Amino acid sequence: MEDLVSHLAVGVDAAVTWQNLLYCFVGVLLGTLVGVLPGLGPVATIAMLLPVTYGLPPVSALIMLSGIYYGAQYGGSTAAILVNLPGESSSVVTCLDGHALAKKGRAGAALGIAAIGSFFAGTVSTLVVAAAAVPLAAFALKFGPAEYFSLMLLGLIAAVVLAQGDVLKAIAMTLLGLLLGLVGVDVNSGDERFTFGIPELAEGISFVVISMGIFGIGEIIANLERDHHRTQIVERVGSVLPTREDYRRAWKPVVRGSALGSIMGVLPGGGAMLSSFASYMLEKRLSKHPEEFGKGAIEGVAGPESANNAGAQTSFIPLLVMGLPSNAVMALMIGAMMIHGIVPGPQVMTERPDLFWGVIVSMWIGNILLLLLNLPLVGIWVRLLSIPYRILYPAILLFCCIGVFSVNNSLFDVLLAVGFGLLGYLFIKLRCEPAPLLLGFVLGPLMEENLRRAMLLSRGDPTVFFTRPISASLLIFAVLLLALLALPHFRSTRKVAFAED
Amino acid sequence: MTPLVKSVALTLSLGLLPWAAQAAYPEKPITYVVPYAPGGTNDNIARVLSEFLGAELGQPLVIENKPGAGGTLGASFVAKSAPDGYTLFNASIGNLVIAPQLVPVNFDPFKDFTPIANIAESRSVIAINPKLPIKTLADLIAYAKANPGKLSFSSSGIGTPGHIALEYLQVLAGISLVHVPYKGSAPALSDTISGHVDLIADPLANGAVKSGHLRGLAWFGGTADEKELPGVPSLLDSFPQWNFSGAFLAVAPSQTPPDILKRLRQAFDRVLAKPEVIDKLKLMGLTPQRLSVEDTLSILRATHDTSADIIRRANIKAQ
Repeated sequence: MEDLVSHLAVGVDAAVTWQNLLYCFVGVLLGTLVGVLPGLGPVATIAMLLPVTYGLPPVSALIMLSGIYYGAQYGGSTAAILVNLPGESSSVVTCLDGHALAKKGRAGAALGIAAIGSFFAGTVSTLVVAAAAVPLAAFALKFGPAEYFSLMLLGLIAAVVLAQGDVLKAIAMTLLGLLLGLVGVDVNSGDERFTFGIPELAEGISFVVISMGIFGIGEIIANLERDHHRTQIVERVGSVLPTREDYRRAWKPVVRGSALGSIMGVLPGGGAMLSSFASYMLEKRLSKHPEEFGKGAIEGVAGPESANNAGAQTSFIPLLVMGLPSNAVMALMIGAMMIHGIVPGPQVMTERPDLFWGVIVSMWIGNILLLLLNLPLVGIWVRLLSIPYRILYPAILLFCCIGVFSVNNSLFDVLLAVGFGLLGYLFIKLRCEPAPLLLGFVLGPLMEENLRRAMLLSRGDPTVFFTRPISASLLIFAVLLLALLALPHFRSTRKVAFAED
Repeated sequence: MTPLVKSVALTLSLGLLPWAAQAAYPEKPITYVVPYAPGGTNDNIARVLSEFLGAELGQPLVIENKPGAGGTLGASFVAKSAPDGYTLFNASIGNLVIAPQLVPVNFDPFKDFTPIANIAESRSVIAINPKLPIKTLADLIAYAKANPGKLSFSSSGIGTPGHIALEYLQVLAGISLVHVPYKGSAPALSDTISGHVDLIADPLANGAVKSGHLRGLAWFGGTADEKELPGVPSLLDSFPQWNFSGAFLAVAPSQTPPDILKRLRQAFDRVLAKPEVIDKLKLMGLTPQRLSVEDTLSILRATHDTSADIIRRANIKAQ
């Protein structure tokens, strides 16, 4: 405990200087902006800004770059709530209830709860990083291929439970997502699958392409057809801030989401996303009104938003403790450290305590800045919804295209997104929810990769999934979840919860 | 204007144009293609160099990330672009000479590109999880011979230098290991540190050996001193015939005019001689090497032949 206090004191010394506060603010502001713009993500932004940071001291540079990362998580939920566009896999879940709330004229409440929940989660996870980074990194190492497989399986089953409407359609969409995830070079054999000899497909389809296509372009086509007489997404903008009732319903999901996110964020490859989605499931199970989920339940925004923000922060743990990047943004941070002459790894903590603890403390400061920045902005964001279609839609399309292009600098990806836009339109006509497809798409390849890796390591012995304790417990959860799905009682409440309107 | 004057003027201006363009090279920003997503070693090298090259050439070097198909998408993009000195390629051994042997590509590394500069060799370390009772390379070989197929190794993917290197070791030492490919060095290293996989050969493992998370058995490529990898011998001590390592080089389309190439080679050479550039490259576990164009080509050729031989003998396939 004393250690923790003295460490945090070192961090406060490093982070609370005028210069570093300014860079932190610039980072979270830029992050919020790119997060709000559909499709533009922190990876492209950080890559573009790396040269700007050459001249800065390393602490300031890392504070600014990490600010962009968690700022973008904040901004991403804004786009998900307002225009139903998940820029990153972790905001897919936010779309479900967040956008439903926006359609009901309660965008302000959703945005407010998301901001406050994220702030709380950010505070909790900063403390978690400061106090338990080392043991959590050790826990993450216990997750081998077998454990990841079982975790992903649990996630996939949950994807079906999560879906609205017809169970059969949800299963079909999940399977379609799995199939789309197969596109590209198979990691184990090096064989190409479903690439039709197109080299641009060799590394698979990017998440942003599918998400911008199906959610962005598809939705716009459908709306143009649907709403001749209406010119705005919502007619009533509604109150800007959450009500007392919202807070009462949201505080428990925020606490649970923060805990889930803090733990799962440590797992590289989809940990943060799975946490947002585990939190949604959990809240739906615990809620007294499961029938409201998918139609604008504030808990469905509060929990997942807190979880993904906590996860975004604890995903720094493998980087800070072991020098291992858990996602593309973390890989860029390693690059930034290298350029500043710091070799990432366990020695950073002892050799550069100012940098290590300074970045951690700056995360908490960044979260305060984000709250101060976002609460007043809620009013402005909400007013975006009253922009007429004829202006808003071309703008969204433009940003979707720029965002898709920025991922790989590839025109092919933009054309592919347009193709997925048509597919998305078809899904809307057929009343198929796209969320399970995206989850299948993200989880499927991870699940397959880890299944085959685990089998390779066990030399073909499938009992490895049951003999390893973490893997076995995850599988038991998965079976319980399936049983719940099959139970008549649950089925009937599920029917109420997901009845098509 | 009379027709004669007109044609004289035209001839003059036509004759002058290429001269003017070349004298002014570079007169606009140069695109430097990195064939991977931002964040890897290749990208980091390009970012360090571009800063100094921009000052040296008087025009900015703009990095463009063109990831896909194991780096070959970026390579073929540059191979197909105009040979005017405004599109250059930050190549690695993997995407320039190994990948074309495994996947169909529409470029030939030797016919379609010409080297601008050899940038650096990368030092990889063959490292093992310290829980295993294996302390030296000789222990590893003895253990693997006593327990064939029991040890596994991770790599950043099929046909990556780390994969080729450990296949090469198996061929030279007469042992058999199970290959477990990953998508990138970081997850491969992570599973080796945690002991899910036993071995790895990767530049990223240098840090894990230094911090004691992995035990270094031997290093290859570049140089290493006692401070960087204490107690770890060179692989050449056990296998003097070892002839394979990862390297990074800058290349241009082969039809690039000689005077532009000369200007580029001069600029790269000056930048690669700068102590601050050398320091930054060394921090990434690289050994900067300034070589003549001929030496660069002959190393490239040798690496190509070694990897072709290993791919054939170990029966590595993609496609």
